[in-house]
Amino acid sequence: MRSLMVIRTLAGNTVLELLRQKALLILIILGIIMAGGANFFSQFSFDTEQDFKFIKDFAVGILTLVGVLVAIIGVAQMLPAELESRTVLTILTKPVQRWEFLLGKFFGLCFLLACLTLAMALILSVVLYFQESARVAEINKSYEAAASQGHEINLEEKKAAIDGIRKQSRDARLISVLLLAYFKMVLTAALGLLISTIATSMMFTAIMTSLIYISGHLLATAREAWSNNEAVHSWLLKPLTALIMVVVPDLGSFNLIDEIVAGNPIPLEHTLGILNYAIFYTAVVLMAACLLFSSREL
Amino acid sequence: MVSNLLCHGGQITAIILLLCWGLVKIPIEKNIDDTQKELRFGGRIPISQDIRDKIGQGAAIGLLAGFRGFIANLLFIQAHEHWEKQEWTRMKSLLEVACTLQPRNIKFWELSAWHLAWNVSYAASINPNEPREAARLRAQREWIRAGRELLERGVQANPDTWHLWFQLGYLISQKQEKFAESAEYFKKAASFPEAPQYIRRLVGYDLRRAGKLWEAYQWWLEMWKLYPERKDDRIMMWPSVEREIRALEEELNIPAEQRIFPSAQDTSQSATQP
Repeated sequence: MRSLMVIRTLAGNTVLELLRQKALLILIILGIIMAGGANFFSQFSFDTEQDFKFIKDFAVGILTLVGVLVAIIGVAQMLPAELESRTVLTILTKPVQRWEFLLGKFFGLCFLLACLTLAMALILSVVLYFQESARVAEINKSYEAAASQGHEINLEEKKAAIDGIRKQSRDARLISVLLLAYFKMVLTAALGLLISTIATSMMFTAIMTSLIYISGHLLATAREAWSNNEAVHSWLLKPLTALIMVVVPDLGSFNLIDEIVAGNPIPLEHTLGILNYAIFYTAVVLMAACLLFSSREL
Repeated sequence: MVSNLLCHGGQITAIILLLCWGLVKIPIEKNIDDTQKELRFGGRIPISQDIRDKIGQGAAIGLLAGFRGFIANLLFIQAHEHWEKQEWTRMKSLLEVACTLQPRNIKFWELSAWHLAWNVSYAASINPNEPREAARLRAQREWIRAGRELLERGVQANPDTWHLWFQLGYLISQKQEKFAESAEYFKKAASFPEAPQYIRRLVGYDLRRAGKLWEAYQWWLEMWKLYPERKDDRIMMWPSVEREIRALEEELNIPAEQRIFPSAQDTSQSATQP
């Protein structure tokens, strides 16, 4: 219970610290404005379904981009800054365990990422609501015009058109998209934290986390190369590929987000499986980070 | 040595923990990968050198960072800009990449093939810069073929929905007039329970146009019996179906007693017989 209180206090403090950083704040505000800009994708009117897909894709893309940047920059500054300014020593002289300190910092960042995700989700909902209202009004208007010209109105057809628009704009599966995007950011932040426990500079943490993030999207290619003996045959390349496969998470599996946004049928178990994978991976990485930080000379 | 080990105990435990988890996670990731391949996810298609060359460096980095859907949309919009500028080859190449990046997006395939086989092929047929009619017609045929090839790839990526089977059949029927082939694709599309009913009619029309009269007749008969109530006249156009059956009964010389619509002559003959 005491540990929880300590972690909560540290997390709250971390959120304030992160918000005080102008670079992060500007990034977050920019991200929120850009998510609102998804509204302009309706200009490329190919068809209704495609327009909604563009809006969702753009908003989720911005959320992921900004979220991952906030996670990387936030985590890169968190620990090295404390170590450099020696404030970590002041905190640790109090009845605070090192793992509590680390988890407090991590959950503070996670809270900020959750707020960012919620803010963007809210903006996306508003954009989708406006688009829905505009399109439904358009349909009503066109049917009214047809009726005034004496044409026969098929009410079922009209209802189907409106239902089609509502199905696109009120897609409950967006919740799983947001959850997947959020846990992708959290996993990235955990990896960054792990690196920062052994790193001495912010730059190193940021660059290494970015590289792991990118290679995480190429892990499927590495796996295929590994299983194909002809592709990876050198004595150096083989163990290197194996090491990458062991260390780097498969972030490519989060591409599921694109498929959900595109409206493709995805089994719920599959989505839950990836969420479990991300949560479990984060937990293991956090444990390793706590162990590394506990044995680090400060 | 031992004290050193104890001092680094946390680090060693962390490394062992990460390695153990690394070994456990590989089969989990393999399992996720297999499921996604089974579901034909676009994200599991490797980014080839060819794709990287076509999209430029910025978009390639975006792809590497996991923004496939986002990049595919931007490429599609860019392709649309090239269409407006009548830069057909560049447009085709971007449409192909957008489809490759999101192969489960039916609309990408549909709209891309429509651009190539309808819009560009027509533009090629009236190209004012090409005075030779034969060259214009050849260019038109090539664009139609490009649209068809794209849809064939789309069908391979999405064999489990009726949309692209129908689109492929429609393109072949309307643009290449190979009715035997189009009828087969329409049949395939119609075999999906959620497919619109009017596709069944298209099978019958194209079988007749392909000269497969007996097959067309059998198809119409089956359809006639399948919908005894003959509702949804706006979609099914039953009078048109009736006309087809009547015409085929005449063309195939179906005996009067086996016809669904015996002709007036047959009826009068059977009435005069004792």
